[in-house]
Amino acid sequence: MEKIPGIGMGIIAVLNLEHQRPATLFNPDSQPSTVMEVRITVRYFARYRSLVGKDEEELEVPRGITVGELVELLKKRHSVLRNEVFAEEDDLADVHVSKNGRYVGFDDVLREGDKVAIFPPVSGG
Amino acid sequence: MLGGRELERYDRQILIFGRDGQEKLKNSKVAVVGVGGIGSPAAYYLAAAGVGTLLLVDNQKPELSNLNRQLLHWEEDVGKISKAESARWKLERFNSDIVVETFAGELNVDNIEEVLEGVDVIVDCLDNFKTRYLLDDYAHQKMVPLVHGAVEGTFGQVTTIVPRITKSLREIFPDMKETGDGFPVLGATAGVVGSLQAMEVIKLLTGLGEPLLNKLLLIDLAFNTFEVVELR
Repeated sequence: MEKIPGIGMGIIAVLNLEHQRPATLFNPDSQPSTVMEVRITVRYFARYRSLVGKDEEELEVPRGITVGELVELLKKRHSVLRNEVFAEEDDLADVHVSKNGRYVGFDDVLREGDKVAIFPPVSGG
Repeated sequence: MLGGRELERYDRQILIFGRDGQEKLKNSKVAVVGVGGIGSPAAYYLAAAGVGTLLLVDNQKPELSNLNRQLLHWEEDVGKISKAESARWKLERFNSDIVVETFAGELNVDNIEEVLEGVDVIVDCLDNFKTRYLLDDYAHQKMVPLVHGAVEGTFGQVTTIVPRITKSLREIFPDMKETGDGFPVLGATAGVVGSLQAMEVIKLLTGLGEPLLNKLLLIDLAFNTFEVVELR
């Protein structure tokens, strides 16, 4: 267990130390690095970073996966995102995503080596 | 024409954009809509830079819990006068060579045209997207640049909207949920975002550098992150 500083309180998170190699989200029971998968990097911004407890991670995801599908996978991988931050299944409005430094929509398809950043747009003044 | 006192006052920045640039600032009118956490530093730096006319729009009164970040409001202002008037009092004494106008009412679809008449740049320092969309619509109707900023916690975002050149605010943030009252925010974060917005205005007015056109700057001061996302 490691204490990760969060906004306003200490958030306890378990570091996934077993992920020495990229985590496979496609099928946890199958062997990783099949040709059906692509390797991507996911970067977490702002409160997502505090909640997940790291700034980025490398993941293997199904070939042809869309940004919207990735967000669903991330909600399963990090329940703290589903519970505290992300919107409900049919409403992804409060998650913004960029790919390789460029803003993308949820229909955008991810490819090998893509760097995806997720960030929460804010409205305070 | 710039007077001798102005030439001395703005000497250090005239070294950057010349007397021409300073004249452009002097001849400009900028609206700061929302004079709170990010509006205070934005208005303060625009007054310091010598923007000739500042229009401050805010109908709320300062509260004690605002003072961790809203630098233009002091203890003596809490609950007494509007934020627009509170800020004007300080800015007029800070720089008597500029004109500070106020609108201490609620901006709406019926009055926005009258209130923002003649403004060269609008600075969005609001705390809600309902009024932001109103500013966005007006900016596109009148072809006026709009500098957007928002903040929460140690995180902030800035982008500059120029009608016909960039995406609109509605296109970038189509379905924003409101943060609501009592969102977490640290003064220093609001200070950075407000300063970035003042810089955007100065770039737009003087031609200095490159404004954040179709670029969204994301900052997270807790983790030293400054990231520019391409919006095209």
